[in-house]
Amino acid sequence: MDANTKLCQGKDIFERMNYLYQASYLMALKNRVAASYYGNVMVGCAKKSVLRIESDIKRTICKCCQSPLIPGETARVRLVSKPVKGIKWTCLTCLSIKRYPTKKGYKLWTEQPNSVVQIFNYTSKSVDDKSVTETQKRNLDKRNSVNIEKN
Amino acid sequence: MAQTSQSICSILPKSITKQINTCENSEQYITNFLQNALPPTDTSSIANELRKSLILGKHKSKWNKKKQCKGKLLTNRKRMQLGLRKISCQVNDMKYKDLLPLNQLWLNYMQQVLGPKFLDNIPKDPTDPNWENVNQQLIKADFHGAEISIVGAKCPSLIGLSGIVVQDTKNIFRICGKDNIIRTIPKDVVIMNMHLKNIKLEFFGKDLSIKPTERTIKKFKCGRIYEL
Repeated sequence: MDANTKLCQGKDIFERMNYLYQASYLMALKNRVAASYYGNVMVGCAKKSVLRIESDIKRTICKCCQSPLIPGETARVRLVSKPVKGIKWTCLTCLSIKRYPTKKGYKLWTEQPNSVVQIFNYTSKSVDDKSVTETQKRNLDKRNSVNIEKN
Repeated sequence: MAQTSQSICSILPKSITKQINTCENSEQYITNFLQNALPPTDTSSIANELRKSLILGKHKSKWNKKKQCKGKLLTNRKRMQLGLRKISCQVNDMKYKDLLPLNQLWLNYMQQVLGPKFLDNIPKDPTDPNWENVNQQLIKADFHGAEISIVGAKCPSLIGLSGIVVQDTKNIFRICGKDNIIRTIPKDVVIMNMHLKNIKLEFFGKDLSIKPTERTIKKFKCGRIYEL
């Protein structure tokens, strides 16, 4: 293959994870067992090859059963105030609960501008114009892999 | 129509709600009820009967119990209890039509993996310089959503089955055929054809019998031929 693809470490696995994520969302409403299985394989791939998933993507799959969380369909989303103010996500397949506290002015480290040192763009210019969303998602994944954290 | 909707929202009349009275002491109520209802010959044994404890009454079945999970990865046993391990056709009907978009998505994905030039020059014999490279990429790819047909097998009844892969485990492919039936195929006794638009790729099932997550790191050795 050309030199461009060799530079990005774990590109094929990122592509595979991306495909599994999309497949899982495709099957979410038709067959929850299949959706959960694809999510599980995706997380397993990331674990085996030690690649990080972008936190925005990680929050859209259930931590417990790895099925995709779609508000109103497979997940219940509520605002809670009791322990700390935040958002509570309940997965409807396994009834697990995840709470995300909302703090004013707080940003995740990956959202802060000083976490990104350099962005490499690996998408080949000539080919990838079939599906815009796909490349966008992949860019997200990839940028995360490349972020070199200060300190 | 408007009148009925109004009457649904209104409060029940008092004449109905007076009749309902919740009983606080349920045990007392039961003994009273039994004394009234049973014939006088049986009333003496009521106290004895109520004292008996039912052994199976306290026992709750482990399976099918919906319980809150803690925020951890599910173990395989928990997965089985929730019914998340086996994709079967009886519980939630899987249709071949539903899988067609998945297959389309898979074709796009495969094109991305193999690169745009792959369709023009396919390595046809092992002497080709690209042969090993392509094999390596194919073994790392994902097979959920692939269209597959079986060419050869140890068991003659397996030959000729075809369908879209729904589940891919260490030893098994689950495929959904055109007749909406999900079939289980053992990997290590078959030769399969994979359909990529107009290209057929033939491979041994035994090469793939690794866990799908572990296949990402595996190094594939060329030129093995298995006896069937």
